[in-house]
Amino acid sequence: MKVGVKFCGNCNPHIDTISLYRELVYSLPTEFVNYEDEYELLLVLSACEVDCAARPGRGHPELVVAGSTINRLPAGKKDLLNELKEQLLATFRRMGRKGM
Amino acid sequence: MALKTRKEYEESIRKLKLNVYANGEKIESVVDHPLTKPHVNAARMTYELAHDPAYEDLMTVKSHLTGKKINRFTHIHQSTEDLVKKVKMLRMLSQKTGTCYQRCVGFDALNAVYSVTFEMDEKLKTEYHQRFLKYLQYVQENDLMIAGAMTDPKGDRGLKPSQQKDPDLYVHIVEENEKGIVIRGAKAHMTGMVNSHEMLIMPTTALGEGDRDYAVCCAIPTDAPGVLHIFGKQTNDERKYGELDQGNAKFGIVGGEALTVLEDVFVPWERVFMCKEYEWAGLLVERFASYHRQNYGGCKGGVSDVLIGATATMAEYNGVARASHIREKISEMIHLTETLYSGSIACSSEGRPTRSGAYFVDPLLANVVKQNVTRHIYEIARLSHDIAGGLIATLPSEKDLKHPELGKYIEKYFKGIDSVCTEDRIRIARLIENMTGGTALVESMHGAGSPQAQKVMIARQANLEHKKNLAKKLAGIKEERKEEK
Ligand SMILES: Cc1cc2nc3c(=O)[nH]c(=O)nc-3n(C[C@H](O)[C@H](O)[C@H](O)COP(=O)(O)OP(=O)(O)OC[C@H]3O[C@@H](n4cnc5c(N)ncnc54)[C@H](O)[C@@H]3O)c2cc1C
Repeated sequence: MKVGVKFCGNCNPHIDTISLYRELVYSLPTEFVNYEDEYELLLVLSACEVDCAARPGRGHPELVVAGSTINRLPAGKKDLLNELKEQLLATFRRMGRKGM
Repeated sequence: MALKTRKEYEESIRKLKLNVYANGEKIESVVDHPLTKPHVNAARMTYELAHDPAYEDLMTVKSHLTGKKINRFTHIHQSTEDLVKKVKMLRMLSQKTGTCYQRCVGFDALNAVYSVTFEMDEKLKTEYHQRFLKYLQYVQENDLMIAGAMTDPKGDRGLKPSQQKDPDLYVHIVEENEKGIVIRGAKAHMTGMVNSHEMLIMPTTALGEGDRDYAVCCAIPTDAPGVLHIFGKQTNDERKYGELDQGNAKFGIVGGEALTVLEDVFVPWERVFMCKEYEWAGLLVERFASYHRQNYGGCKGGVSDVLIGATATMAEYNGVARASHIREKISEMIHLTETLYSGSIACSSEGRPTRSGAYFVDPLLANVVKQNVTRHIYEIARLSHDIAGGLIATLPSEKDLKHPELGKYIEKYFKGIDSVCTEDRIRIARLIENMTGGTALVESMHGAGSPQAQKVMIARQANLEHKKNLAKKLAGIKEERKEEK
């Protein structure tokens, strides 16, 4: 499963999406690629809830972190990483993927 | 090479044969000279962050000309989203530099010239826009930094350009031949000029028929024959030869402005975008000014973010962070900052397409933003001074701090709370001093035009008749009755 990653421009960072991304890469065997490459799921990492990151517009399913929310639902700041991992796994399953 | 790296930018500036003077001496390399280096560092961030995935959403965009990824500073706005992202990009860059990174002026000049030349070609059947498109593509493909050169020295402000005793006080055309034009004069307060690749020259003011030689818009390399730059002397700039005393040693204060003298500079026709069409000067000035005034809630918003952070840190270091009046004043600083930012977002969201397809900001709201900046930044600085304490004006130097005998007294008597070392307290104090004194503040007053220039635009755009009619209607005043009298 390839996950494309798109950051917002970080003008109002309520969360540190760069560290979040690094920790995610470190803790999951999933292949994360740049949003300009080929992927099956788009992970948007927006540092505040405005979530103005431009989407590549290629119609792939999205998982959106925006500030301390994931897909518009509040996620506890401390648990953001774990919750994100869970949501990623759940999305993979919904997409018919067992593994990562 | 649609996106230069920071190294490529620096190398490209090193290659220019710039004629720059400061303190009576020629500067051999603006990239390396202590007076100019901080400004180069700041401009460099506009290149560096374009390559960073965490910032590229703001820093880069697809060119509407080529479909290639380009630096946003070379882009022509294609939507209100582009206008909004410009503001966010400026805020983010200011947060990183705490100062001016200079590239917005040329960015605004490109956008203003784009739409105005389009309209000129439609009305006058000229070929300025076609020429400009080629120039724009060259700028985008080489990721060039452009200095926006509007302000003339102006001499007697009560006289028109052609009425000045010295005709060179406004840039003007002195010769026109089959190859191009020759211009003479100077441009004052040129932000980032000495570390830009090109300058885009525009008239300063609306012009009349007698001023037709002053109606000139053109692009020239910053190292073209006949161009001379005299670098401005800033508050405390002898401190640039040290570190700690500067406050923001890496990025300096505002944009490193210069007086740029144009001594009979030749401009080939393919770089001339207005030649004596005096009726169009006013429109170009207004477009440029509105785009430029749009910026200030973004860039000054970001600079204020840093200042608020510095002030809150200073309050902690002084042991007063919990005092209610300090918290109230920090909230006020935040409120003022977000007020500035709101205006920039509003004038961008209310943007509209021009005939060329390029998007233009709402000019009334853009002028309101800049008018607010001429006041709120001073108030934000005042609150910061209040909270920081007098040491920002009276601190001894870095040399004294490092002195084998004096240093211990400075360590001892400039100490704040116990858990913070004196040097850190001094560093924050110096940063506040740097961001709120002399040169830094004046930029908020006069950059993008003095307050009265905005007032004139605000009055012109405000639709006052509508407001009077609203009041009359509610008050039950009938227009006819006046006529009966
Ligand atoms: C830090 C800094 C950076 C800048 N960067 C750039 C840049 O990159 N590019 C650029 O083109 N410009 C730049 N400017 C120039 C800026 O746009 C001008 O400073 C501004 O337009 C005011 O012009 P001035 O400085 O000549 O002041 P003046 O025009 O002399 O204004 C001084 C006062 O006189 C008043 N006044 C002026 N003329 C009249 C009149 N005819 N009638 C009545 N009152 C009048 C003004 O309202 C003001 O109150 C920069 C300025 C600063 C301070």
